Order: sequence, then structure tokens, then C-alpha cells
Amino acid sequence: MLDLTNLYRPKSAEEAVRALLEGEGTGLYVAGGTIVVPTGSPSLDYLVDLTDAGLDYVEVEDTSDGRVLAIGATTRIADLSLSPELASPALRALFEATTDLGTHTVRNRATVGGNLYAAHFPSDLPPAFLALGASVRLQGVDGPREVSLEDFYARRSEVYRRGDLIVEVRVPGGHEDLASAFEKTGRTRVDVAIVNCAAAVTVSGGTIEAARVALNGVSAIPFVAADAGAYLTGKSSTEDVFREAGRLVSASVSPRGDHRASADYRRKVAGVMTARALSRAAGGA
Amino acid sequence: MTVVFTVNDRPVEVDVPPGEVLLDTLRGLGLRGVKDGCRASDCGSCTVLLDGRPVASCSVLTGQIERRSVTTIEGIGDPSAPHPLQAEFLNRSAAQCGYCMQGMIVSAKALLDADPHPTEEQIRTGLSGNLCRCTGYVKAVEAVKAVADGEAGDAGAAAGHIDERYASVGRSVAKTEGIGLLTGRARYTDDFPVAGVLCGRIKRSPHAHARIKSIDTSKALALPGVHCVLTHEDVPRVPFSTAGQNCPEPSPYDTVMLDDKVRFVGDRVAVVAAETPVLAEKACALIDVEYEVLPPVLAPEHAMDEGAPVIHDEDDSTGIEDAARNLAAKIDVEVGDVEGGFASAVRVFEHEYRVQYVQGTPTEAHISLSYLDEKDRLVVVTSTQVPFHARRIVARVNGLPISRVRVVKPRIGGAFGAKQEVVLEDICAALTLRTRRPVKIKLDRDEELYASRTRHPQIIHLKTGVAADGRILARQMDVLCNTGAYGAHALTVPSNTGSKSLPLYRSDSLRYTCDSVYTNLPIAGALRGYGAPQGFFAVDSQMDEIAHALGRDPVEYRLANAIREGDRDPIAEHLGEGKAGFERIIRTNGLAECWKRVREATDWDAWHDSLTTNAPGTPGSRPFVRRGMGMSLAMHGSGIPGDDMGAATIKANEDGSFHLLIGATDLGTGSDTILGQMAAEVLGVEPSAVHVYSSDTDRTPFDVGAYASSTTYVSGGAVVKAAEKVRDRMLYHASVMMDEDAVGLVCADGRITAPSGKSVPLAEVAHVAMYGDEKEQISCSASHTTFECPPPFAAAVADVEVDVETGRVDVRDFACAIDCGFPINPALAEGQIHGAVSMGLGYALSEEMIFDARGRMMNANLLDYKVLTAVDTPAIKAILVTTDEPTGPFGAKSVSEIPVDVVAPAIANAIFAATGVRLRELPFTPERVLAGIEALGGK
Repeated sequence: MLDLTNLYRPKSAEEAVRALLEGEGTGLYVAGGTIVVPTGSPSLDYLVDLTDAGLDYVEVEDTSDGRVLAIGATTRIADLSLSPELASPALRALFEATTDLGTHTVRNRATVGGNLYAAHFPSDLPPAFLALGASVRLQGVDGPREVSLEDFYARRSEVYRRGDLIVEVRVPGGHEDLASAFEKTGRTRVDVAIVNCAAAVTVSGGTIEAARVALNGVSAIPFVAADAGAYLTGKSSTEDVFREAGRLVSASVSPRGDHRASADYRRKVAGVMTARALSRAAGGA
Repeated sequence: MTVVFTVNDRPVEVDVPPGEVLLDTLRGLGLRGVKDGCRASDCGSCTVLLDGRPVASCSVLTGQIERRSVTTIEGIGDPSAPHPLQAEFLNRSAAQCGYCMQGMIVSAKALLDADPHPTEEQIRTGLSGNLCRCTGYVKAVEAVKAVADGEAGDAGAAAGHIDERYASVGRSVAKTEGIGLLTGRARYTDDFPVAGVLCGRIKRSPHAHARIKSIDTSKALALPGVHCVLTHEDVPRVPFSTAGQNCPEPSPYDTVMLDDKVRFVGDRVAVVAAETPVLAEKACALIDVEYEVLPPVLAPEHAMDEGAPVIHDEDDSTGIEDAARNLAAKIDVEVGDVEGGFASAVRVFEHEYRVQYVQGTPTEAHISLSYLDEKDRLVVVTSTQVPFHARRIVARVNGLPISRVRVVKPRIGGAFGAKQEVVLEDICAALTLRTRRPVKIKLDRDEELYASRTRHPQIIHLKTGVAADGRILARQMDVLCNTGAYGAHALTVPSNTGSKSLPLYRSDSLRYTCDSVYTNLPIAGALRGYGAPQGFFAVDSQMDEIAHALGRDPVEYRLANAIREGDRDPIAEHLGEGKAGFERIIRTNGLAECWKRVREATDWDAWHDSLTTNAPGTPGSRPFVRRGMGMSLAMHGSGIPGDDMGAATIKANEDGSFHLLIGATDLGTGSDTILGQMAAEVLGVEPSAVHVYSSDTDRTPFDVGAYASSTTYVSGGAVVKAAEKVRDRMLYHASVMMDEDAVGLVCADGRITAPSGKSVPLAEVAHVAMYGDEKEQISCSASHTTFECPPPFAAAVADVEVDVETGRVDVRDFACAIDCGFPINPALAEGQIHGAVSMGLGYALSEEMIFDARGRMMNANLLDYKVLTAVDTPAIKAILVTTDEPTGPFGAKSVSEIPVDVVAPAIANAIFAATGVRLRELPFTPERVLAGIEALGGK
């Protein structure tokens, strides 16, 4: 049960970072609250509420590198789900990740930034964004900066500084033939993932020109399975190839077992999820 | 901090602590329809609309909603002007306990506001955040669909009655308390406004097994706002059983209120009373305890090992079979010559089955409120199934005469057996007696999971010898039953494992043995089915195996060997409720009809015809999926013969209405409603003319409580008797008024009519009885007990798809038919089947308490303890098969528990049909199923 001395309500990302750094005692950011509020310990002194920090938007930007989908960090999962921008084959993995995430009440509160931050959960959005090559904008005490999501996870201790706030996720438009899909398995249909996986592939004339596969639930952090991507590039788009990519993923991961599933089970279904995500991404089914 | 927002279109300004959640703020504003269920946005009982969208108010900080708009259940409709959804949920009896329903209505409203014509899948998704334990979501989904499709009012209470002979029974009368449940007006324990109530909290053991060497409460007591801390040094040491059972109590007296020894992670160490929940939590943390940690017993297989740690080494417990060997209870019953039967058998089948720890997970966790009334008597308002047993136990352990204690059961948010138990009442009362203040203790969701009561895990060895023609010559079931740290129901639950499941199939000889052992794990107790689901999982899985091995059709083989009408239950008189039982003759048996109906309700015939002999299963909807169907049968009981007793008082008002006062306990099942219908039938009035008041030890007569599928059958018998007495008095007064012989008068349709054709309205008779020359308050009581225990029968079909790459089992369809005798209220009886099947599905597929190497529960929350949601649950088909049980009121038998029995074996048999994998350990998690598939492939 929370026993806070303060709840700050900043009106901008800059104000939020200052509030977090200047608060007395132990503090955290809060937005949807679906994780922080129930699990916050009595030793937590203050929260910085992002509700009014102006980070609730889904926008398309035309940049010199092409179209970029910019998603504000406090965008609710349910709102992202309903965004017409997600109705393309390229972003289908992201759409599917939002619909598989939790219950309807959770989707109405949980936010994109929170889901990326709580990746260890293991949460559902990170593989989708990783497969799509997304980056995040961080607001720090010295101003904003952009890092790739892959770096954000893989090099978190270098990248992440105290007070940093995820303010936006940026998804590049990608190739016109890009297609993606998301797969997840849990103990039941409504569940936190045991393993989830997103695949984004560009297939031309039956040949895989590029592929990115990302998973969560099989290591401490969500990651891009680079071996599988390298293997797939230049191969024919066939079920056998997708299954082989799945085998490569299974062979390369070293998951930890817990009360939800054993390490062995996670390893096996990581391959299954990989093959299925690739198959659906490539086949459009 | 000050926050301004609107609630139900009314602006409010509140001053709240910065950490306060919206749930608490709203309840503090008197909006008590917003329910506290898990405080982790997992259960949805606290759902409200925030700017029109459903959210869990337990996870929203009040400080986050400045200038925003909140709608609660109270803002959606009220009893005088219900929202169409509330009206249709009422009409279809969609609410049982109602605790989750207020949130569900909120979600459903948002769904229809956004999309007036959702598909069934969208409805289920739109309710996926609202966990329900009573209903399997079936009638709620149907009600939403009916409102969306403009078909509201077409079914349910509007549908009329099923038997011309009766006016009030056999009708889907809407629940008497239904509109209160659906509009947020019903009062649960947490909703009683009591001034100055202190918050009680239990400090719990971090060790599975330890002795308390010393305990220092001084720091906790020094905290301002902390009123009382009790340890084992402060309370009377009176050994008792927390099980709420009739006298003489069959469970061992192995528990004291607070002990100097702890026996599982979560056991009581001390209890505090403080001004606020936060202070109570802080006080618990400030109690210093020095433990002598003892080696624990964490595996029942090793509980009786030579040199195993002794869990109950205290010298004042009584009724334990052999404390030195951790043996709480022991059973050994043989009928006929089992060894001889095995010797002459052509084939002998032997298998081991394992069933897990599960918890009932009522959406309202255990909660008790106690206070001293104006006469200084102790009042305990509590979420219980057994108010009279609770009164007796609370009085005894606190050293009070029974007459100084009053126990009241208000509306309760689910129970399922977990509340057939004194989990909080004793210690809550002790805090009130010490502080002389009102005290409320409610369990957090994690405490509910590990520190209330669970289903008994068992290891079941089943051996069956058959003759060449398949006849069963001998059957022996040996059970190792884990009762956990204390022996509540340690003898009686496993008694039922054998006594319920073994008579279903005729056998020349039977033997049932059980060792019920202590371990340093959570306390097992009662849970819907009461031992029988464990037994039937073994029996009906093995019957499938035997049939396949003998080359017989599994259905034909079962029905050929099943118990028949006129048969004598071979084991009933030898194996009763922890003692010898009573002769049981099967007078009604709708088993064959049950099977026929589930076959017709599902794709059974088509699927069966499509089977080829060379491969298991049939192709499913996707390439990696195999489909299969399985079935099972079961029988159960109706009450505890020679033990249960219910009583009723009916008093007449001068306007021809009646008050029915009953000890029977409505857990959300609808027993208040059906008992009122029975009284109305006898008295010849509409059910609405009978006002039911139940479960208050000061104001209603005794009843053992709601357990053992007894309420319709036993308490109903008392209601009928009391109503007949009242009717006789009405007839007497009518005979005087009409100058007719009382013999031959008929009481029906609100009138009393003579054979001559003369008649008088019942209201007039009631008026004359009270105000006429004789001035009689017509008021009659009756009690009912019986040595009969007619079994309801069940058949089920499960239609599953198994993902052979992940092991995930998807139940496409599930049909369950119950011969419950005559259904007093068909819609409520269907609801019992839906709820019991849904609990059975969780038992079969997803629910499991998991412990680490030190005995700590690792999944003590509703994210990881997997209760099935609306999208995980198929549209369960409930079918009522009517028989006319001569010993039951209006021909009724029981219905509430038996559906749990058929689920796990039907699913196991369906998985076998789909994959060829025979799973003998519950639950069938994806991981376990996949391991089975791989093991089969490796052979």
C-alpha cells in the first residue's frame, strides 16, 4: 500500500524530470499506474504523474529519412490500438501486440512508455517495436536525446541516466514491402507472456530481403535475434526456412525458468513463436 | 492534496493523501458499489468509467484525476430506474454473488456505448478485465447480447414455469436481492458503516516451520494510532478446529488462536488493531520476532517418514490420528473381497493420479467486522457460509457464552467452501473484546490465496480388476491426502473422495484407504466438490483407459457399468462423513438422459463418426492444432445424511404477505430466492409475497450452513414443513370465516377455496387471524433432517483443440447435463452448473498454487494464479435433466457441486482423443501437455 508524501503533476516532460530529480526521498514516474500503484512499496516517497505532461499523441512525421510514426509515451495501449496508422501490414506486429496486452481495463490505463520501461514483465510492446527498428526519445536533465530501442535495452546501464524519462517512441516507415506479425504464448489467453515474438520481413519475389526477429521472455531483456535475421536474409520465404530460424533462436537463447514456465519450455516455444511470427508476416495470413 | 472532479455528474472536491487510490476515495464518498477485490487491477471488481472508459479504480491515484469525470455503478441506474443492462442481467439471473457484477455492468455499458452491436468475441473481450467465479460469464454475455440485439426480456424470468402442477417452483424467478446486486446497493461486510472502526491485520510467518522464541511488540505499540497487538501470550489457548462443521465436530482440534509455533509460510504470528490500514501494516513490520527455524515437511510423500519433523508436537491437541507421524486422519473401508476380486480378474489396471493445490478465489476475500452492541453483546458481521458454527466457535475460543455472540451474514462475494471456516472471526472478536472498539479485518488478495483455505492436493492410486466381459470385480483407491498445516476437514474431505466417486460404477468389491497427512504448506479445507473432483478425475480417466484397452466404446462401457435406479450404493453405509454412513438406495437416476442430452448439444456424433482408427484426434482449425472430444459421468450427494439440519420460521402479516426467516446461507447461489419460492408454492402466493431474511443467529433459526449441496434438499425440507404448518393455520381461520370444514380447503392463487366453491382471499384471512376475535400471530417453525442423500447425476462432453507445438489447450465447447431432480428455479440451477463448470475448467487447465523450496507461495496474485477470464471460457452449455426424487422437496436434489466433478476427466479424455497423450496430473498446463506430447513422440 502506498504511503506517499507527494504526488507531483508536471505540465511538461522537462518539469517532470526536474520533479523527479528534486523530490525528497525515493521517487518514480507514474502514468497508467497498473504496475506502479499496486506494487509500489511503502518506502516509496513520491510519484511524478505524467498524465498532464503532454505526451499523449500518435502522429506521423515526414522526415528526411521518410515517414516516422511518433507515439507519445503516455499514449494508452487502447488508443494506440485504435490508431488508423497501425492498420498497415508493416505495423501489424504492433497492432497485434496492443490487442494481446492484458485485459480491457488494463489497456485503458497502461501506456506505451510504461510498457517499454517495464520490459522485464515481460511486456508485449518491446518485441514489436524492436522488430520495427524503433527508437526512443529520452528526456534527461540536459534535454532530449534519441537512442535506438535496441541500445536502450542492450546497453541500458550506459544509455540510461537517473531521471531519464521516455517521452516518445519513433517507428521508421521502412520498405514498402515490409510486413510484420506478433505472436505470444501464455498459460491462458489473457496472460502476461511466457514468450512473445515479433517478426518484420521484407520479401520480394519469394526471397527474404531483410528480416528482424525480436523476442521477450527468454532473457532478462527483450532483444533482437541477430543470428536469425542474418540466416533469413537471402533465403526463400518458406515454412522450412522459418522453422530453421526458430531452431536457431531456440538454440541461441538461455532463458531462466520461473513459476510461469521452465527454462526448457521457454526455449522451445521461443522457436515456435519465431517460426509462426515469420510465417504470418511473410504470408500475410 | 485537494482534487476536484465529477462523480456521476456531480462535482466533488476531496482532500486525500497523495497515495490514495480512487477506489478508496469513491468508497469514502459512500459509493459502496465500487468493490475492493485485488488492488492490482487484475480482478475488475472496482471498475468505474473514467471519462467514459472502464478502468480499475484500485490502480488510479485520486490525485491523477483532477477535472476528470468518473461514473460508478450508482450512476448507471438505480432500483427504481435500472439501466437496460441491469434489467436484463436481473431478468436472466446473470448475477450470483454479485460482487464482480457491478464492475461487469460498468464494462458492459462502456462496450455498448462504444459499439451498440458487438460480436460475442467483442463482448467477451470487453468483459475480460472482470473476473467472475460464480457464473462462467455465460448469462452475463447472453444478457449483453440480448440488450444489443433488442431481445431483452425474451428469456429468463419472463420465460414462465416448467411444470403445470406448480405455480411458484419450477420458475426462473428473478433473485430477491438481484436488483441490489446489480445497482451497487447490496451490502457486503465491507459496506457496513460503523463509526470508529479499527483496521485489524495479521502478522504472518515468513517460515514454513518455526518456533517463536520471543516476540517484542513494544515498537509497534509505541506507534501513534496503534491500539492493540495480540500475541500467543495475550489470548486464551483453546484448541479448536477452524472447520465449520456440525457437532460433534469431526475435524481434529489442532489449532489455537495464536500459537508459539508457526506451521506454514503465512501462519498467524500476531494481530494488530490500528487506526488505518497503512498504520496496521507498519505496526506488523515493527513487531520483532525471534524464531527458531525448524526443518519443514513440504512433500506429503515424506510426511510420515521415520524421523520426519513433527508438525503438531503440542500436547493439547485432540482428535489427531497419529500426531507423531504427521497423520491427521486415516480411513480404511472394504466392501466385499477386493483381493479375491483382483485374483480372479482377467485384466488389472493400476494408475497414479496427482491433483494440485487450488484456492476458491472468491472475488470478495475473507472479511469480518466485529463490535460490541448497545447491550455489550459481541456482534460479528462476516462473510461466512456457516454463521451458526461460527457463533459456536467464536464463543468457545473467546470464553463467551453463545448467547452473548451474534453472527450476521450479509451479502457475500463468493465462498465456494473457503468460507465454511473460521478464518478471521475468532481473532477479530478477540481484538474487539480487548479494545472494546469495532474492528474490521479483511484479507489482502495474497493472504486469501495462501492463508485462507484450499482444495486438498492428493496422490491417488487407483487399481481396478475386470472380468473378460469388462465387469469390474474389484476396485481399490488409495489416497495420500495433503491437509496442509492444520487438519480442518482432514478426515471428511477425503472421505468424500472415495464415497462420492467409487459407487458410480458397479463393482463386486471396493476398498478405499486414505492417509491424510500434515505438511508445512497452506491449510486445505472445503472447496466446491469437497473431495469428489479429485476422486472422479481418477475414476473417470481410468474408465476411459479401461474401455480403450478392452476395445470397448468408452460411453457404452461406462453406461453398461454405471449404477442403476434401485441399486444400493455399496459404500455409503460404510463410509459416511468421517464415520459410518447410512444405507442409500438410488431412487432416481437420470444418467442415461444426461448423456443423451450432452451428446445432442455438442458435435459428439459428427466428430465420433469422423474418427479414423490409425491416428489420434482430428485436424483442428490451424495446422499445428489437433481436435478431440472427451466425456465423463459423475454422481454426488444432497446434504450430509444424519448430520445436516436446517430450520425455518414463517410468520404471516395481516396483508397476506409472509416473512420467511431461515438459517440457511445464501452465498450468491440464490438460496434465499428458491427457499422463498418453496414457501410461496405451499402458501399459494406469489414469490414476491414472501420476504426472506436469512443467516442472522439472533433472528433466524438454526441451520448448519451452506455446504455439502444441502440447502435445497435439507433447508428446503424445513421451509416446506414450516409453510405447511402456517398454511394449516390459515386454513383453520378460513374454515371459521367460511363456516366450512378445514379438511378439503385449498390454498392457491392468493385465495383459500372450499370444495363447495366458496372462497376467501388469503389477505382477508390474514387480517382476520390477526385482528379478529382469536387474534393469532400465525408464526410456525420447523426443522428438517434426513438419513437420505439422493445423488444428482451428471454427464459432460468436452471439445478441445490442442496446440501440439505449445501444449496450449483451447476448450471450444463444453456441455454439462445434470439430473438435479426437479429444478426449483431453472435459471439459477443453470447458473450453478455454469459456475461449477468454470471452476472445474480452472482446476483442469490453469489454476495451481506454486511453492518455492522453502514453502512460500510464488504466485499469490491474480496475474499468476490463473483464474479463467471471459475470453478463456467457452460458452458453457448447462442442461437440466428433470427427475422426480421422492424424498426431496418438490422432487428436488442438489446441483451446486456435482458439475465440478465431471470437468477434469472430460478434458483429460478429450486431450487423449486429440493427441493420444494420457495426462494423469492436474492442471493440464501448456508445459505439462507439451511434455506429454514429446514423451509420446519419443516412444
